[in-house]
Amino acid sequence: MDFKHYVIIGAGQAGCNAAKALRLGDPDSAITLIGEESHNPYERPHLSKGILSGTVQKEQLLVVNPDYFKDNRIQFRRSSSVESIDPRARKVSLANGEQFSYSRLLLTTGSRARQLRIPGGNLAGVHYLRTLDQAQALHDHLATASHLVIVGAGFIGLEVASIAKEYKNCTVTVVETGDTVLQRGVPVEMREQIHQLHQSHGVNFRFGKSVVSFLGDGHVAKVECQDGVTLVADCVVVGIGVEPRTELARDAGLAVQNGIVVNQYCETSTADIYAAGDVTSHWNVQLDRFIRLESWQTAQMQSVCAAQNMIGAPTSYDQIPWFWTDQYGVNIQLVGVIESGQKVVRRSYGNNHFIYFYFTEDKLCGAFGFNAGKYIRATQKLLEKGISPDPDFLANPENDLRRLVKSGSKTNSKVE
Amino acid sequence: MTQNITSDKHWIDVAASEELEEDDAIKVEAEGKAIAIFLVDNMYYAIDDGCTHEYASLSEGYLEDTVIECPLHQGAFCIKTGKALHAPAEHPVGTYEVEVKEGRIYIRL
Repeated sequence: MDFKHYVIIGAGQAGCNAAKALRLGDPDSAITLIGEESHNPYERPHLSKGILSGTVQKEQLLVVNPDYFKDNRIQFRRSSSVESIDPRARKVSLANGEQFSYSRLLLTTGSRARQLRIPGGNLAGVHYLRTLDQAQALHDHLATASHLVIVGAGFIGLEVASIAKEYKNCTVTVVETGDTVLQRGVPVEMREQIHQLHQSHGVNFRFGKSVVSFLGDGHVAKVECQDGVTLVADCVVVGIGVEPRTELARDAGLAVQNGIVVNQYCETSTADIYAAGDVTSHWNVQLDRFIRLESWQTAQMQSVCAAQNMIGAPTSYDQIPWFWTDQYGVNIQLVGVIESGQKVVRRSYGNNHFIYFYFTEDKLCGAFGFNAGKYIRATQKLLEKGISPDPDFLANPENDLRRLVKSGSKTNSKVE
Repeated sequence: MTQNITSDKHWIDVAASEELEEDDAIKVEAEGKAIAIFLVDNMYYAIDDGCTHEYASLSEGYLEDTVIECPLHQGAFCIKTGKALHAPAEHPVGTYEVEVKEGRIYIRL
């Protein structure tokens, strides 16, 4: 029997993009997309940017137009949570008792915001930022807030700080247990540059400090740090990272280790079950190792790759990791994987317009830049092709990177 | 068409042709609009400079053949047709006719 029923659990950017790709590649199949939220599938990058500032409306975040599911015969179950997966019977059970049989299943369950479990954590005015509803609640609150305290100097915390300083009229203090911003996955020069950017806009930082409680009568009024210092706060944002939503996979017996483990074809350890997006710890052929990436790119690209494999067109996911953040009107991008202590050269075009290139044993491994998307893209292509230019060549802003991309051939292809 | 350049009021002189090198882009202003002009394989193309995904200058983006990628988020457009080719861009950008005469670049609005 050729007729297939594809079931997708998780209706975020990854799940919805996979549904689109499945429909394109297999016009006659049945497709069911199951999501917990009541909204149509939306992209999350703007939750911590344009939605907070009010410059982007929620309709602009939609992955597909509202008629898409009906027009493309995709069964979209919103506000639905999945209770369990039975891989032997090939069945998915919803919390309301409903069951779906699948021929192939895709897990795009994403991540959830890590919770700070301390006294006062449930007070009104303590926000997390993962969903559209949370972003809109924070947007509304920031309109009247005077003293914002942000717990965690990761990307979410810093983007919120940037919006609050640019668009709102409040003091901003960031409390971070580490000794600087962005402790995870970014090079030291990038931390320094972003830290400076925030300092120049008047953000206060308390490094090496943890928050022990939120105080207030129903609504947060103060934030107590472990060194005894108490900060006045009428609005708090907790941004201490996310956790992959792996429970369903684990309960169904799939291999889970820092995410749902998948190979480069997005296959889990169980037949006919695939996974894509934030939730995966995936084998990256380019990097030659497993990696979990919480990014737009993974949601966008890996989901399409998974769909192709589900349809029966073997496709390897081999994107070079790429990430962006927008802060204070500066577009900051990172490409590749950069470990600490690597050789670095800087290519500069002026204030807030530069790029740093990184090398592992004289081989180009990544770059980050401020307002340098063109060069980051060139770097991504160099990495894809395995071209490693001379550091001095890259450092000179006169040298043309695109010409280098065009002249180079792919040298690091691997035989499977 | 070329012979009408100087008389047709819809053709606007926007730049000297020497400002634009092969396989590159420049941004020009014409009647309050920001327009990106490209020169690829000796052919000129003109499109709206603003990305339809979010405001960014496409002339600052990454050009490969006749595809321009937005420098902010890698949304991609065909510079011949204006068509959006790659997410996050979904909507096309406007295209304009371009002519070069006597060392000047003209676009038709």
